[in-house]
Amino acid sequence: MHHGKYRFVFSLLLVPVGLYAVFVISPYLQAFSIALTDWQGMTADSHFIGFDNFVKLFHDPVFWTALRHNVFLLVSIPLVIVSLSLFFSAMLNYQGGVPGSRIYKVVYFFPSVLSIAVVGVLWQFVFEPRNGLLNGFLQAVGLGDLKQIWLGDGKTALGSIMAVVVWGGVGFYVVLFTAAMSAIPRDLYEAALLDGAGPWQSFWRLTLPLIWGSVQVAIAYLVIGALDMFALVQVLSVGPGGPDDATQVISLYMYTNAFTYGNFGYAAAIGVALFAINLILTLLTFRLTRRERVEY
Amino acid sequence: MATLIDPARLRPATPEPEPEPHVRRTVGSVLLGGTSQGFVLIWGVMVVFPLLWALVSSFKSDPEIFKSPWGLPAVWHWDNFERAWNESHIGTYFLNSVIVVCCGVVLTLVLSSAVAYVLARFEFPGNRILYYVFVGGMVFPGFLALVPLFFVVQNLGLLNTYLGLILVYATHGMSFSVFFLTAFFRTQSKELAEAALVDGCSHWGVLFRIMLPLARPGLVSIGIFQFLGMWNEYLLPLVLNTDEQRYLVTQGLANIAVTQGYHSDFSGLFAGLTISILPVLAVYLVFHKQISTGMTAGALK
Amino acid sequence: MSTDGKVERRTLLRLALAVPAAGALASCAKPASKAAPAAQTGSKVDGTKALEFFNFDGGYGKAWTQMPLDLYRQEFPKADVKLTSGQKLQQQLQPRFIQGNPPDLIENVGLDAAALASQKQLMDIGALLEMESFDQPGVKVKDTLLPGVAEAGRYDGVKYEMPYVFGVAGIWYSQPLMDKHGWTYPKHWDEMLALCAEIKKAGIAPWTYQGKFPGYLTSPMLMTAYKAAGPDLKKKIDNLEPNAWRDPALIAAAEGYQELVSKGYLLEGSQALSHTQSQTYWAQGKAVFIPCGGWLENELGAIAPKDLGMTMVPVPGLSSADKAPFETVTGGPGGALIVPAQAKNPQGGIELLRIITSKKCMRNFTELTKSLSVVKGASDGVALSSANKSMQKVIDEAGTNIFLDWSFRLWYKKLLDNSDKAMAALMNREVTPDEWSKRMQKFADETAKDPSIKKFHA
Repeated sequence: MHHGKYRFVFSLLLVPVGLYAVFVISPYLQAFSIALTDWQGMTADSHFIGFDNFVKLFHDPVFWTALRHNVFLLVSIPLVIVSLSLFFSAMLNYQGGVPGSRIYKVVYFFPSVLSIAVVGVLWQFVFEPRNGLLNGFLQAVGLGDLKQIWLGDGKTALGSIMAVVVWGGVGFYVVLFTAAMSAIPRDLYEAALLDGAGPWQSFWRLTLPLIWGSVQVAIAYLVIGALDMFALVQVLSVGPGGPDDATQVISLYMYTNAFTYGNFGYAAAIGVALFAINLILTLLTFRLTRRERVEY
Repeated sequence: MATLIDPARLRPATPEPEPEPHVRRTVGSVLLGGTSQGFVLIWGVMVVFPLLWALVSSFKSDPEIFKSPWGLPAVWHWDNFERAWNESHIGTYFLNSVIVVCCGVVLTLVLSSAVAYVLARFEFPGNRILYYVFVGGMVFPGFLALVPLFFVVQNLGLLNTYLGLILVYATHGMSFSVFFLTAFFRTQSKELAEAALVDGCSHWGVLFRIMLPLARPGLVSIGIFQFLGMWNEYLLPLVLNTDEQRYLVTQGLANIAVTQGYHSDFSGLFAGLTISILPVLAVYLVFHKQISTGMTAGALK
Repeated sequence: MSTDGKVERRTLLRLALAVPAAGALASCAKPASKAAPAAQTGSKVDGTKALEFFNFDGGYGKAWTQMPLDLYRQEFPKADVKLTSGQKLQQQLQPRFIQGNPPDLIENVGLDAAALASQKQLMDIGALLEMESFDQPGVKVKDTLLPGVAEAGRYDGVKYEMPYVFGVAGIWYSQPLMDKHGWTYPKHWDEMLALCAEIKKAGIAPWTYQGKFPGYLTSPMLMTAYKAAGPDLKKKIDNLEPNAWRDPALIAAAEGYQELVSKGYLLEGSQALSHTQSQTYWAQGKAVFIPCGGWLENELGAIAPKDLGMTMVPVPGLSSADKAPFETVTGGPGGALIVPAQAKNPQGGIELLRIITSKKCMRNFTELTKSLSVVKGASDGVALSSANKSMQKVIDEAGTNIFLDWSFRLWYKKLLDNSDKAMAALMNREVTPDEWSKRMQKFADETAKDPSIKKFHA
């Protein structure tokens, strides 16, 4: 029996793990070793310099600025997206949902099928300070005083980019959460109603605990996404990464070091640091969300 | 679907009686009424409006885009599409993308479900480690491995081939799929598999006749994730796929965007955006039911 | 679909340059031994070998490559001649460099030539200059080129890059617009501010710039400081001398440019506009002045009104006490064709270069791209636009008062990048001019201290 089990396990794993090792693990391991060199990227020439890159990284103010932005994003993006998505899914789901909820579910998902680059180019025209949709809208509804330079101003730039992420992300999670909610048997709600629970109670006490698995996946996924942000920042921001590092994020800083400054060794060190942060945060997210789940 | 819900998880969720149920209900009803519907509508408009605006803009002339950003075009310029189409070669590249992405999705599902099933169902030394090796891949910034990856693909003689791209796409999709499917398989009933084993079913039989059919909804939903991700992938083909004959749609789009930067062809850019948005949106509209069903399955882990 | 191909081109062509004349003439005597391996310059072309030309499919497109490639095919019918092109050269060509299989000739936008040169990845193409011109029998290539072209594109004295465009950078305005209001272009910054006040009263924004890429404005600002302080300033800055950035002329120039913002002379929102957006507004008459290089006309394309009458002029100086003449401009030969040292057919690459620098190919280039080329007389008889005519005038009037660019911008990419960031902070009024200069000094000191950065000297 056990012998059969191991043979089965082995034969199922052989091909996938082999391919994964060749195409994913080996390039990443090489990237790790690059972090210990001064490789400049254009020749095979490089020298082992130990942990010098990491020491330099520790004293690099731009890296810390980028990290601070990433931390801000990874707290705020999941918070905003998950709250909005839960709110909308509850609206679309509760007692058959608001009128037209089927259409909303379809429409909300639209941004999720767009490539991030398309989203970036599109939002460039939304934020355009002169004829852009956003300032134009504010002007039209008499809120002209609220007009901003958005991406051009260090105070609003990062928030603007975050808004794009929220715009692009909510629909997917609405569909995810409504799907999860619609799978909750109706009679549970009816029972809750009989017990005297209003919509808020049934949401907090019934719906949320039952779809917590989905919320957990959403948070994990969004946290990882918030640590990336590369494509949007690169397409949208001044500089990119500006103005004056106001939208600098780790992935972009790594890219700039590799492809603009020709510092692949240093870039790889940033990548390794990012990897470590990613890993810790992912594990942490699961710990935290798991504990909450137990409370219910 | 209901069978997948663990009853034990439902019990503590049953709400306790509230002191003033009527007041609460009224507040809730108000929230569910006008205001909330308003928010739902506003979000819908926020999603659709920029897309519609891009669509309309793609028919305008360049001066119109700047002078009357909110108006309709005086003349509907279909030639913008002609230009964008010719510059991006979307027609030619579309088939390439379909081949690579479809094969990539199928392959990643096959590979990942095998791994996920084993990780979820069998205790063996190194199980945890293997799981973290896969999940760890999810959190590593992709473009740093680009150059080493190039050499791996090249040494295998797979540069500029469909197979090379498919293998890379499939393996790079594995991290997330394994993570997702492992969780999915864990929720599935152990008893069923054990009963089948007792009935003389082999491990392979259990996998193919019982577990995979049960996992179908999960596979669909992860397939959707992967399809969207792979369809929009840009950096990997840029480096691994330099033969213009085999360019993918994203590469064609990049051409328009960059070219626009040198010729101030805003209308052409919008036309290109529209061309790239419409097919994907159409596919989505056709399959949106399956997508949300798939998500239902994925959600209930 | 990212924009950085664009950014890289900005960086390179910002002043129609891309070509550091690092101690150009002085170090000519240096033997090329340290350069590319197996250079064997002057050896015969093997006409049976394949040839690959990698074209940057951006600003100038690829149409212009047709003629030289056809001529090569005629000369060597047995050669398999291939054109490849792309827009992200770093990502596309890096693996091929490492692998030792780069193309034979590259139209370089995006690869760090200074780094490639210091890593011995480029072919010394000095021999090309001594060869006979492709279509002017008995004349050496070097004698067909405009002044400065043969000297440009050298690193530590070795010729690695062949420029092909010739241009200058300055401030653009629409002549009809200026005439209509009776405005004249000022030579000093205080007059500029006075004119701006007048323009603003007329209901037009005096200035705009490509705020998304702040470096567009760094160039004119540094030029204003240069005119105030004289050539010494550039030397000190480029050599990373202590306190070079603390020069009063630089701080005064920074004050002057920041006033564009604080006095409301900047087209609203400029700080967030991309190059195409700001240039479009400028072309529509929403702003009077915009800084840009000679490629502006080509980049505006069909969006420019027919009667725009675009005119380039030098950047204003600071005051009447200036030490360098108002006519001083940055510019000269620009763009860079390079032959990788490890190319399979470098002699073919050099031969293709000889064809490209022929009079008829460069004339063809000018006709297709509306850009002036590096070959003497190649644009004779080609109908030049008002933009090109004004550029020609700027070049003629500058005489010897022309330099390629501030060398630090070519040698030290990170310092360049930091100067762009500081510029954005200055124009967002997040730093005072004095803080700006302190910050630049700090960046320069860091560069000077960093042993991993190879230093060049002016």
